[in-house]
Order: sequence, then structure tokens, then C-alpha cells
Amino acid sequence: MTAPSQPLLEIAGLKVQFGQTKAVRGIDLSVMPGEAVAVLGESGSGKSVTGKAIMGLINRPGRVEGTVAFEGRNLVGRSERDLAAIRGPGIAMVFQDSLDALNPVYSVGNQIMEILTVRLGWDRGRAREEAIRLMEQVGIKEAETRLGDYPHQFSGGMRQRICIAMAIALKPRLLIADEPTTALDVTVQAGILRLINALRQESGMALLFVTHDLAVARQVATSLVVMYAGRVVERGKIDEIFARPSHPYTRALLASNPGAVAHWSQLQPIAGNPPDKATKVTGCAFAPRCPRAEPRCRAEAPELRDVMPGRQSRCHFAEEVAHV
Amino acid sequence: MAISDLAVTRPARSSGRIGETLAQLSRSPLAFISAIVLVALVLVAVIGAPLLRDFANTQNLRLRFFPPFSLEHGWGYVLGADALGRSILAQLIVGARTSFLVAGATVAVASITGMTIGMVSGYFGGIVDAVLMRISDIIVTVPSLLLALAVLFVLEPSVVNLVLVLAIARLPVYLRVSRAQTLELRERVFVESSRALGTSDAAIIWRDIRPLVVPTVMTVAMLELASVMLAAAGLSFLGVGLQRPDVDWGTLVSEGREYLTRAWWATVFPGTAILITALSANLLSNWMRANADPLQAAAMEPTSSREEAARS
Repeated sequence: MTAPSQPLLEIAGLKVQFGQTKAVRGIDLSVMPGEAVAVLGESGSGKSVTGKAIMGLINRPGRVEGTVAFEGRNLVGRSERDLAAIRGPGIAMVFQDSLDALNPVYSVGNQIMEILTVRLGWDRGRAREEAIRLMEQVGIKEAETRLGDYPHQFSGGMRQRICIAMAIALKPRLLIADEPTTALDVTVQAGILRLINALRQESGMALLFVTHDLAVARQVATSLVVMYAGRVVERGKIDEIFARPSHPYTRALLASNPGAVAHWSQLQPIAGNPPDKATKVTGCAFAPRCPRAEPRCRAEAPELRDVMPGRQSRCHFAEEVAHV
Repeated sequence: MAISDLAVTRPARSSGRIGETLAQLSRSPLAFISAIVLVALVLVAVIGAPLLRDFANTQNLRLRFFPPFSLEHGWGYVLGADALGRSILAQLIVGARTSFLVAGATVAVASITGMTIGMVSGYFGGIVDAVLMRISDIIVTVPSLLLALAVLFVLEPSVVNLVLVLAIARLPVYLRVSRAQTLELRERVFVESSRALGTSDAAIIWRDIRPLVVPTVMTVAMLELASVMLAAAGLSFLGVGLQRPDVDWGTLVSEGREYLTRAWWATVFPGTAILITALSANLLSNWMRANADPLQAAAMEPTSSREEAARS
């Protein structure tokens, strides 16, 4: 067991590049044991790629640089065999597309049991008991009879629950959830979020929750990392960021969130598009869309810096943004 | 999504599904007849060949060019006799076993090897993939008949050599089909999620990818059965295939050709046997392909049974 003071996961200078496309341009992020961190960003901000890079799931021709230290050991550049040992009991992942995340030719019971028989060497009887327990734990009714059912016989929400059951089967210390509720409708979504919260409280596992949805992030996480154009632009406690964002992008996100305003007419969409991932960005990547950009923003790239206790922002005018 | 969902629920094996497949088969008359013909031919070959092996090679010069459709000398000569007075019917049955054996063994060797290489090649990609695919391209460019002729001319023309040569020539078909499918499956989320749970590459290929590649390869193999049989017949016809006392349908056509004007039956009957087998295998394979494709299967089946299947 790691000491509480040491981060479970510490990412430093992570860069992911596919050919000329820079999906992640260097991010730093840390997750303490048992902590729930949300990674927030719009489509193409590099948040999903970050999740995959942590797991070592970036395939050729993708290139990963920087360090991903899990319990003090760097995972970048490790052999597939070393990574396989960490995937599962160390870090597990739940994917966005639950419709396709289960193999269609095996029953769900088989798929859960297989993890236990292969990785833990359990006999099938014991694995079966545990599979039933896991299915009940993630809220599947009549688990025993549904064990032999195939993925297509379950609804989307149920399939995502089974994916979660598979992810927690080996009791991971860190669960990476890559937009696990995006493909589901809102009522099902709430159930899944409650489930993730409950599981986290029971087992004490840490959570890295990747999402584009502010409201969802707030329901599961205590810390928030906001990403824009492959970089972290703001980081801190989620409630504090909601109360006082210190980066114009975060501020704009909050203003464009339907849940945060009283009437839809007050919604403010963010004009423009994120920068092209193939081009080199000079100055602040958000400057072309920023309502308060100044000549300095286009010339000089801001660093991620401490702007108040427990808060970092990548903006030249973070203090002013925070105190508007 | 819905389409791929339907398509992949089929391959899982269980007795219920075999029964269901048979029921579907019986609704398609052409495919049903083809299946019966093939099964009957295999049965005749398996049961009849050991019993008739000696009779098939018995020469009776008094019955030289004995015409067919006459029971004067019993059922054994109902399809006539060849230049050395050997029974055509008996030779057909003995030849059936050899033809099926050669075709079956060739398809089995080629499909299993090709599928394995194709899946590995497609899954890992990179240099190994590039090299394997170029080798496959080279095999495709060399006419398979020429390759077989050259190899069998140098080596002893035996059943094993014939099978190996034909298998190498047909390998690229399976290799490409399974590689293409693996390339697509490799990107599916369930493969990624399997990796995220720490499954090894070998286990992913065997447990996640193989079950979805097998049905396609099976369909191709069925189609190949007919063309391999024709290729083997062609080689025998050219005289580098099997040698007496081994006999297959190609040998029979080849030997009978010399006397085509005097005794048409020595060529026509074995030729017809090849035609019927090839046609049946093609029709059945065509049905298998359509049946594995939900869009075409929907057109082939009565609506009610499909709805039931969807509900159950």
C-alpha cells in the first residue's frame, strides 16, 4: 500500500502524437489514492487519448512521450507483458461505447468469469459465484439467470453495468472511466453515476473520470482538470472552480452549460473552433476564441501556474478572470 | 450497429443453433438438395470405396468399351466399362473418395494455416504483416496450375504432395479474408477493453477475434472445396496428379479422353460427377454466405420466424 502522501498516478509532460497530429501537447496530472478526478474537455481536446495513453493502449503509429507513473513506476515504453500485469488489478478502464465493449459471441457470465479464471486462476465454480456477486453488485437483477445471456440481450445501460463489473472484477486501485455515460440517456446515466460513486466508497479505489459534461463531472469527482487543445488549462477542487473559474475557457464552459443558467436564452456558446492539431500554436491556444484576449496572449504562451491555494491556471490574466 | 449485432450472434455453436440452421436450410430447396447430394456423395465414397477398391482395378478385356445402361453383366457395369474393361461405376466411387480426400485435406490445411497467419498478420501489423502480404502477392501472381505442375514434376506425385502444393496455391485466399476481418475487429472496443483488462495478445486473437473470423473462412472454404476439386482433377488430367492404382475423377476424365469418340461414357460420367459436386458445393456456399448476412437472410426467410428469432 502506498503512503497517502504519494500520488497513485502521476503524469508528467505527457505528449501523444499521431503523425503530424498532436492530440496531447504535454499535460501534468496526478491522482491520489482514493481520489476522484474528472478530466473535462470538449471533443478533440485530447481527454480520451490521455485515458488510453495511461493504459498503454495507444497503437502504432501513435507516439507517446513523457512519464505516466503508477505507484511510482513509469508505464511509458514498458513491454506489453509488464503492462498486462498492471491492467486489471492496477488500472482498469470503462469505455464510452458499451454497445461494442463486450464480445458478441460469448455470454456475459463467460466474459466476467474468464477474467477470474485466467487472471486469478480460480476454478469455474468459484468464478461463477463471484460473477453472480459482481453482477448483483452493479445492480443487475436475477443475476444468476442472466449469466448465460449474450450482450445483445441487454440494454445499453445494463451492458455498461456489465462492463463496470468486468472492470472492478480484479479490484483495481484506479478506474479510468472514458465518458461511460455519454451513449446512455439521462435517467440511465444517473444510475450509472450513482453506481460508480457507491463502488468507489465501498472499495476506496481512485477514479479518473473523462467527460465533456460539467454536471456529470460534478456528480462524481472532487477534483477537476480542464483540458483544451491537448493541454491542461485549469486544475483545482471542483466546487471552487465552479464558484470561481480562473481561466476564460472554464468560465465560457460554465456559461454554455444548460444546467447553470436559469433560461436557455442566457446560454452563451463559445464561438469558433479549437485550433488545428497539426499546426504549431504560438501564444495561448484559446486566444482566438477568448473574449478578453490581448496582444500578449497571441505572442506569449502562458504557463500553468498557481493562482490561488490548490488552483492552477494557464492564463496570463487568471487573477483578473477569477475576480470578475 | 444493429447489423453487426445480428451477424455475430449466429456463429455461436450449440445444438439448438444446428437445429435452427437445418430448419433454415430446408426452406431453401436448392441449398437443401445440394447439401443432400454432397452428404450422399461423401457417404458413398466413405462406405463404397473400401469395398470396391479391388473391383475398380479389375481388368476384363472381354468387356472393353462395354456400353452403359445395360444390366447384362450386373449392376457393376451399369455405367459401362473403360478401355481395359474396368467398371466405370466402381472407379467413380473409388475416385470420389480420393477427390474428396484431396479437396478436404487441401482446404483444411490451407484454411487453418491461412487463417492463423492472416489473424496474426492483421493483428500485429508492421513489418511482419508487410512481408507476409508480399509473399502472398507473389503466390497469387504465379499461376497455381503452373506452380503445381513444376513442383509435382520434380517431386513424387503422391496424395500428400498434391495436397501440399494445392494448399500453398490456395493459401492467399484465406490469408487475405482473415487478415481483412482481423484489421476491422482489432479496432473494435471489445478488443481494446480486453487489452485494458490485461489479456495477452495471443489470448485476444484466440478468444476475441477467432470466433468472428471462423464463419467467414468457413464460407470461403466451402466455395474453395469445389475449385480445389477442379484443380486436382486438372492436375490428374495433365498426368502429374495421382497415378494408378490411386484414381480420382480427374484421372478418369484424362484416361477416357483418348477414346472419346468410341466410348463417351468413360469421360462423361466422371466429368458429370465433378460438375455435380462443384455445383452443389457452390450453391451451398452461396446459401451459407447469404444466411450469414442478415440483410439477405431477411429476404430469404418468412417474416414471422425472423421476428420470433429476434424476440427469443
